[in-house]
Amino acid sequence: MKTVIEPLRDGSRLHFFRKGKLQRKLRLGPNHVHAFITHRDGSVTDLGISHNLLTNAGRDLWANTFGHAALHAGTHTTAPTTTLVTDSALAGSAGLYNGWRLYSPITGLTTPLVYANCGAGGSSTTIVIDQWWTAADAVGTTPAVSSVYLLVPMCAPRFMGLSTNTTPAAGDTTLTGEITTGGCARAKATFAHTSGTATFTQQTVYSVTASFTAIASMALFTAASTAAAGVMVFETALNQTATVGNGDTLTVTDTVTLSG
Amino acid sequence: MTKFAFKCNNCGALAPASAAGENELPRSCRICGYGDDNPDNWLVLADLTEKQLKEIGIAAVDVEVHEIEGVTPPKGRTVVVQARETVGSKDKG
Repeated sequence: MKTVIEPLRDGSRLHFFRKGKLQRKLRLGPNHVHAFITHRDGSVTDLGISHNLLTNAGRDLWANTFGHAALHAGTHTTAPTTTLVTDSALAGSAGLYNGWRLYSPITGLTTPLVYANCGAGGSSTTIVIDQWWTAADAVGTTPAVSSVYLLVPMCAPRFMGLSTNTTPAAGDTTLTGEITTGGCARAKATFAHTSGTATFTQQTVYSVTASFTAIASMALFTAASTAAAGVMVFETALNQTATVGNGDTLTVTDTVTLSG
Repeated sequence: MTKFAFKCNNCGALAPASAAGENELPRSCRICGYGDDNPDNWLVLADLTEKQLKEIGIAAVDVEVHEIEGVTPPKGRTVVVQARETVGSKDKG
C-alpha cells in the first residue's frame, strides 16, 4: 500500500493506492497524526487518527527560529569529528544550541557547505551533532580544522521516532522508550507542502525487521540520531497501539498546522 | 559509542546491526529510504579493510557484526538423507 499526500488549506488528504489503483482517501484535519500498517500478506491495519502535541521545548525552538535569535559565528579550533564540534572560544554550555543548525565549509571557499544538526550534551567548548549533511541529504565530509562555522536557530523537526510510551506530555524533552532497533529507529520523514495552504506533512515509512507489540507514540525531532537527541518538537500518542512484525510496513503521517 | 554494521550506498548513512533485525540486511535506509528489495544498496562494514573504514570516517572498533535475531545455531552433527526414486520402485507396505 502506497500513499500520496494532498496538502489542503486546513489539513491534508491521504490517497491510498494498491498496485497503482486508488483504494481510499482519508481526510486529515489540523495537527492530525495518522498511522497504518501494511502487513507482509498485503492486509492493512488502520490505526486511526490522533492529535499531535507541541512540546514546550519545541515551542521555544520555534520562537527562536521565527524570531531570529542571535546567531553565533566561530572557528573549529580542534579538528571536528562526525559527532562533535570543538571551539575553545564558544563560551557556551551543554546543549545551549540544541536544535540549532551549524553550517561550515569543508576546506576552502569553493567547496560546498555542509551542515550539522546540533544536539543536547556537549560542554562550554563543544557541541554534539548528529552528523555532517550535504544539501542532498547525504552524509557530508567532515570539515577541516580551522574552518569557520555559523550557528543558526532552526526549527526543522523532520526525524520521526517511535516509542512504547503511552503518556506524552508538553513538558517532555525526550521520548521515553524510543525504539532504536528492528527498522523502527528514528528515521527521516518526507516533507510535503503546497504554497498557500496552512499545513505541511511529515511522513515516515518504517520497513519493520523485528517484532514490536505496543508502539504507542511518535515524535518529531531536529536531529537524526538518538545520541545527539536534538529537540523533540512534537510528541503524539497514536490513536491505537501498533503491533508489527518482520516484513510489515508502518506508515505514520503528521499534518502540522501553521496558524496566525 | 554507537557501533555500525552497514552503510547505505545511496546516501552514505551508517546503520547498526539492529536495523536488520531478523534479516541479513536492513530493509530500507532510515535516512534516504533506499534499500528495499535491493541488497546491493548495503555495504557490510565487517567486510571492509581498516583503510576503507577510515575513508568512511570510522575505525574497526566502531564496527559490529550482525547476527540474525531469533535464529538458533544448529547443534550436533548434520545428517543428510536423500530420497531416491527410480523407475520401478515401489512403496513399502
